[in-house]
Amino acid sequence: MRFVQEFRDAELGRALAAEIRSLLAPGRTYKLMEVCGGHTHSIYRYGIDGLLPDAVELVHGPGCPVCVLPMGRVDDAIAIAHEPNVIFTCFGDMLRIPGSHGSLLEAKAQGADVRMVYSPLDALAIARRNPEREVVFFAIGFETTAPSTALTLRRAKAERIANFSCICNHVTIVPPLRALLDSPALEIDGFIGPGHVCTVVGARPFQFIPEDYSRPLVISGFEPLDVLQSIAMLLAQLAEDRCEVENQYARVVAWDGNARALAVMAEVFALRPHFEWRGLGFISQSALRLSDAYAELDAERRFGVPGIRVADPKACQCGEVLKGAIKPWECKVFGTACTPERPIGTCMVSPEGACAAYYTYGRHAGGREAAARDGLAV
Amino acid sequence: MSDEQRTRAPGGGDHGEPGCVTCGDVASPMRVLAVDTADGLALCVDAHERRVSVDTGILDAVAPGEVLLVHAGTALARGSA
Repeated sequence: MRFVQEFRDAELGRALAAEIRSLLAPGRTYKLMEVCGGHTHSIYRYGIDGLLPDAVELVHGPGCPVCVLPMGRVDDAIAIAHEPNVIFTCFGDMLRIPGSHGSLLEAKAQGADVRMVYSPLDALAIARRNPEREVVFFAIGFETTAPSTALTLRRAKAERIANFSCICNHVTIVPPLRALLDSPALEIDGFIGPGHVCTVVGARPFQFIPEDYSRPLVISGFEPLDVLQSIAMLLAQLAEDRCEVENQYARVVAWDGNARALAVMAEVFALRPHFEWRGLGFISQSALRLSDAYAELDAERRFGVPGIRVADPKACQCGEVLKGAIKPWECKVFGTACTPERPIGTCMVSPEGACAAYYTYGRHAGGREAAARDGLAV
Repeated sequence: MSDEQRTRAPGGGDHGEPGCVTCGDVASPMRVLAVDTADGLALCVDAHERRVSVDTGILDAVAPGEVLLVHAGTALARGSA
């Protein structure tokens, strides 16, 4: 099937790795940030980092929506899940995200009716089958996932399904990128752009990165050759002193995105004035709520939520990992107190989280051994 | 069902590894088997022969045999087999 096999060819991968080596300036090092958690997962699953020369370092960005969710929002979700007569539905990763008093999975063990769904359409189907119950869908994700929620809410409104509602945690990718770029500590030479977000929003919203911050960005697909080619394209821009948005994923991403998706999102959602991001703090206009036209489907209005801000556990360094300030294995609790089985921080929960990817694919051992070799404290 | 199986979404599945394709910004190719124009849905099948109803509301009309990139039950783009 296209999109898959021809983008995993080992010979072509080795050729791209050689091209990457040929683009390096002697003595220079390069830090490239992959914005999207899906890229982080691909990089470690396929061993892409092992094909890169030491001079090229990949830094993991804030692009896993589960990882950037603050604990207070998990508490809000659990409060709704414990409401009588509620069936609470969410994606799989959300079940184990720790709030201040446990996770949704633990709420389920305590008697709450929490169910995993694969799509908002599944949640709506549960609402149709259970007209006597209140069915709440926990919406999360970047602009890739938001159209799916929007289409489902439009469907629920058209069908007048009164027992369905949504707690909206959708976030947008440009504001956190701008916040990262405004950070004086950020030392990033270029960005691997989020391919599937761009199927919706297009490439145009990322032009501010070369224009305002003089960094190149290449929108990338998710197969190994996609990521390697995107790295080569970034290095070519740097070698040629160019700085622009390029689209490696042109087989899927149109420059202006998907007009229908943007229209349904504009109908169903409105920007929140601000939203808290784990590790990054409050960022203006970085998240979506339901628009006034869809207020009756807003679970936050229907049930009310505690809305209390909760500080991260002191031992957790997810914030520094999300900003690329430290590698996952440099966190004090990585692989010891914090594991995928018993996560403390969100980055260890989702397979797309940087810590879980490092842990799952064994990079913790390499990192610690390398650190010990270099005399670094771990 | 194990936790690993629980977090494996249909359509994630060209490689079938554990992971949440929804949270991971991952879209997966699926082939259209049948189209319900009135409902804006298409019955699709992924590489593991799992069948899922997919919302096609943000694409122009789709036809059986086409390959779509699907994320969280919604077709984001079309491809080719």
